Amino acid sequence: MKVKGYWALVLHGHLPYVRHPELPEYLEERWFFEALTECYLPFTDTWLRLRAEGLSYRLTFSVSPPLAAMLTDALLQDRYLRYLDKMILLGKEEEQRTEGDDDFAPLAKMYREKLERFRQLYQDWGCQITEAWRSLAQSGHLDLWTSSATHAFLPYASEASWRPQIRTAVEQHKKIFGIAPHGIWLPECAYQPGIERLLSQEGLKCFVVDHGAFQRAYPEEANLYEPLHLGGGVSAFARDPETSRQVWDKNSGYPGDYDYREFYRDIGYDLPYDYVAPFLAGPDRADTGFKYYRITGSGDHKEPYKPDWATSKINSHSDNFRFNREVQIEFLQEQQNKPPLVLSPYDAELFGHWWYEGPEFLEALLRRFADGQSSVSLTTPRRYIEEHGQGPEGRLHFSTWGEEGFGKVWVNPTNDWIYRHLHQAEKEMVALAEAYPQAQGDVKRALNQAARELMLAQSSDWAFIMYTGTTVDYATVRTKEHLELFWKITRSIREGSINVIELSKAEWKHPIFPDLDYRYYNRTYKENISSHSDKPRQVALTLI
Amino acid sequence: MGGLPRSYGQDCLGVLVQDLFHIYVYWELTEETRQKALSLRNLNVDSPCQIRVQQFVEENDSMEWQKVYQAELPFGADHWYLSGLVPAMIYRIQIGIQDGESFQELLTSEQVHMPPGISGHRRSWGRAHSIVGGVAPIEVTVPVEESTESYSSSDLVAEPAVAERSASYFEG
Repeated sequence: MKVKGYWALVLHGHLPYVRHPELPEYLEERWFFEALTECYLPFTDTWLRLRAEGLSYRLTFSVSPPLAAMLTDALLQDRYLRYLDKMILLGKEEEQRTEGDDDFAPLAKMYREKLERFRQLYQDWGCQITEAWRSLAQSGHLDLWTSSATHAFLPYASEASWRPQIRTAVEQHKKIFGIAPHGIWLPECAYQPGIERLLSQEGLKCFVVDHGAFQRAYPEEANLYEPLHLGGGVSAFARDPETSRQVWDKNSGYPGDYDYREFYRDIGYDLPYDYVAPFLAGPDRADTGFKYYRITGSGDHKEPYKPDWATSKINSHSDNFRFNREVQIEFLQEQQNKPPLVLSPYDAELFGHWWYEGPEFLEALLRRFADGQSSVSLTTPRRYIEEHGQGPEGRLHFSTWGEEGFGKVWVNPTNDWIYRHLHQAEKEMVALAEAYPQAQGDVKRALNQAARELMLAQSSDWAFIMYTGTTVDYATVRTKEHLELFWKITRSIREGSINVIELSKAEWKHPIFPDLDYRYYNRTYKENISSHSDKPRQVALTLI
Repeated sequence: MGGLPRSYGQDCLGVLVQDLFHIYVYWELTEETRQKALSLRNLNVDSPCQIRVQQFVEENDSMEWQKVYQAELPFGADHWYLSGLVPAMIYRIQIGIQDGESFQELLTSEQVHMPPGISGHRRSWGRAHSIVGGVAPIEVTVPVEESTESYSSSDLVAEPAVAERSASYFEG
């Protein structure tokens, strides 16, 4: 069939860096384990299977550096295997407990089988699932993007932090995936004029913004269905509002269908505490992933989950999605010279975690758009640029994909206190990086660790959690812990009394980015490499 | 953990644009700076600080900052939310002291650009944040670097220039 336009699926995989070697189990590490089981492994399973079938699909997958760091971390890999074993054991117990129950026994079996399959897949790749993604990128099925190093909300960070955040991310991506990323997921799709210059310097050519950014573009409203070239070989792509609504809208979106699995009914809460306690990470009740009910309706009454019914809905929803894209593209292609591109960026964790059938839905979409029977073809921003250029010239203003398109989620009375501390620390980091242009030994170690602590404190997740009111204590503790460690380390550098034991402890606890180079904070880094750094320098002295 | 400080003992001012109409401002004004300003103008030590918002205005080939808002700050205030700002306008924020008709600014932000509500606004391309003050550079002797060589012998072998530099620090 003649292709009239394109659909680009962009998934953003991200979790905050949560790793607690100080305890054998830690509740918040389960965010990562659950996402592996429910999202990343099902995606990988699907993508590898479709490739083996010879389906010519393509999509963009942004892997945030904290997620990539956790996926390649031996401690977390080991803990994940133990977690899987525990959950498989729970699955076996559930099969026994539900034996003879026509509704629940098949579900218990389904969960246990899935867990065993994903455990096998995980081990088949040597617990390095990033290697599978690397392979899929090499075969042309995935375009892998990065994000900022610790998912910092860049418009609220001082500009001196932009380069370290972006360069560290690019370096880590190259190391893990063996290829430089073509694009970047700006955390929270938060753009601020000037960021594109840094992206250009780091070889990044595209990113995504909310559609509102295009509507407020200069010199005129930009077309949502082609990229906008901001200069320096960097183009922005706009999120398509229609496909966002179809998936995200809590009332009309697909995931709310009554036949899909109910997220909020889990045996971790429904069954006697003593029975589930051995499978929890802490003393409190929590999700186990064993959920036996479908959404059923808007009330509290829930009926047993029927996987066949859900699969049927997946088929009708993916048919509906494809139909709508074909109609949308048919309309758009009459309005513009180049083939229209409908770009749908989603948080990857929506699919599988919140929307259990999400990976199945995405598989159905890939099949429908890659089978050669649709007037809409799959593409990626990279491929679109290569085939159709970087788009017309234009400018964008500050924008995000948060509420109302700006920053109120990340600065409001619940979290505004963090910024004075973050900004002060950023300045101190710059001052020290410029004072020690070629540090060696423990000073270098200390400066690198200070940079790690600062970056971890900058994660947009902490402000987000404080705003949403979920695990606020954890987000607060993490923000403070990183900042306090930062000041402890930087003070020791200034005082010439680096405590190697304390430094080693910080490195052991927060080992993200082993190759991080603090000199990225030096605004004249390149020049300084060959400068006479033994001359007196201007050093900022911070008094606390 | 010792906890984060309430203040850093340094004058600073941060401005973050929240949305089309709102700005978040935080600051630290040291007592030293405040007292110095009061003393210079012979003002009462209890004189309150004020926050002033100025808008950049271009009219008939002239450009100037015009005051659009000013308020007295309660004692101890260190942050403020400003509302009612205009999309696509350029603002700057000041913390200072009112002395009769005169406003003595003590902290001034760089210009902050509000995003526009509609397309076509060229002048709001700029930053939606301003962070000024804070860590202030002073000249000091770097005391640490020379002691590092004892932990980095491999680096010294690999990079003679560093060894020479480090040695000179020891001698100094």
